[in-house]
Amino acid sequence: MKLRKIVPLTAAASLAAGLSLFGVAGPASADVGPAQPVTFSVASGALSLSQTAAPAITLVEGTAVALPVTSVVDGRNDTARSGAWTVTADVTDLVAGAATIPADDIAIAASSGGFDSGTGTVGTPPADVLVSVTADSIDSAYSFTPTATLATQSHPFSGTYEGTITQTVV
Amino acid sequence: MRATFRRLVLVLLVAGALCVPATGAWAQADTEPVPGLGVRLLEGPADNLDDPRAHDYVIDHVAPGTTISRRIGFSNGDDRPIDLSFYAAAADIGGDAFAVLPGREGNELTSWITFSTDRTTVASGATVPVTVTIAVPSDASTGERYAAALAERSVPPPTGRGVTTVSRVGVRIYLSVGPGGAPRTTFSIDQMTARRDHLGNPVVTATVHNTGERAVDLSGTLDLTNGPSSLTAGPFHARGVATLAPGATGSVAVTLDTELPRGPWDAHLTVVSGLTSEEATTTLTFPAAKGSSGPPSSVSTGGGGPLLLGGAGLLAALLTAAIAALAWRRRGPRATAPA
Repeated sequence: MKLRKIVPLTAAASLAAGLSLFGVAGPASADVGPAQPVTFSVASGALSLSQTAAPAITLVEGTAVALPVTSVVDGRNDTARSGAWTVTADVTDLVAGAATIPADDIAIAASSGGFDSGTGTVGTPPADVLVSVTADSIDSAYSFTPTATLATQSHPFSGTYEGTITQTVV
Repeated sequence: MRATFRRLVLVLLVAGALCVPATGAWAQADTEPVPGLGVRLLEGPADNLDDPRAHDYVIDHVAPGTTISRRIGFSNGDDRPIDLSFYAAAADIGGDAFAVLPGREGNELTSWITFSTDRTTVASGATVPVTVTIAVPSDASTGERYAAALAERSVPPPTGRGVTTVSRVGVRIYLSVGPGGAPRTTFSIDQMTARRDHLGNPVVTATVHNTGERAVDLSGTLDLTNGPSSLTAGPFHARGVATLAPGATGSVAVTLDTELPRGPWDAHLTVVSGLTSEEATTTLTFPAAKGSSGPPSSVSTGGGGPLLLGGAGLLAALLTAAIAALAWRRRGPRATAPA
């Protein structure tokens, strides 16, 4: 007899807890197709990447030249989600008329990084990853200065080369 | 009695319907743009609502021939409009990290992905929703594939000539393809090692093997007990998140404070990826010298498995209660019957 009363009560209590857990805001009105109706709404921020205004970049053989300061803000996370992100960088061949500096002769690395706000942990990135971070708090911001080093064996002609340096955060 | 049970079933059905929608996607609420070029997933599949990874990434298992779509918001936190182009780029998992390949390099998965728009101008402070559609061919082979849905902003050199800087932000895509249900996600903690880094910090490193058929994003928490003078310490969080492809072995490292006594300690490590967790326990003593490492220690494992959170956990608990109630009710009359 007791169980008959307890079970429905437990179900009702659990249902209330579930609603609270999910942060249900009622049926959402997002504009997705009928095949995928939106039924739950969860507040979350964004992951962003910004770079300071880029000055003209002058590469010097064997020297790590600072690139524009890069900032990553992770507003997606809470402690349960880990908030992990990685930044990668790649560079194209640099070309000046007939002269070319191969991309393989330019090494991009990160230096002097740190958290501007929030906390987190910095992993040991593999070769093609600049920074690997797990941010522990909401709206954590991490800034670092990428550097580009031209291999000394290149001996390029002096001049203005054109190319692209790309940073990607996912 | 039947009426009571019918009411119970009704409550359970309502609970299940509200907690785990049978179809569709959940959506994330609008928030203010963050500085620079921002990205966030706006919706995910309802059946993955409990998986924290599915709140940040596109993580799905689909049958060949399936088409899915997800909305992604790209924001401009700068004080002037920016031009963005959208595309998918191939990604790979290696060195314990998920990384997008250079340029616009594609793979099989990126050839299945289209965007609702290829480029647009985003006003200052605005967010544009872009729908990413993944159409899996009916003859696609079984397996998990990786890519990223990206927005690219290109800034030319100030003098008009020189190096162009490009910023890209994106959402990771882990797409598993195959018939039936989702392949298993499992991993094992094989051993743990106490070492001291070059700065003198004690570090616990666990070797983790992805024994499942899908990639994992591993985070860890370490608790130390039974230390010198019965000290306890923790929990300490792992340094970074290790992403491992199926079959790969990597490490989860937890860096501790230099003042921590050397031990011995009973070390209890919990490693989590989404809804899957594993636990391992061993006894460790940290070496004294900077840059040195102790021997790998075998571990006792157990206590992990699928994490039942939120709706799924709730539903499982409710169903368990219902089954128990039914069994109790059926056993009841036999227990009271005369011998």
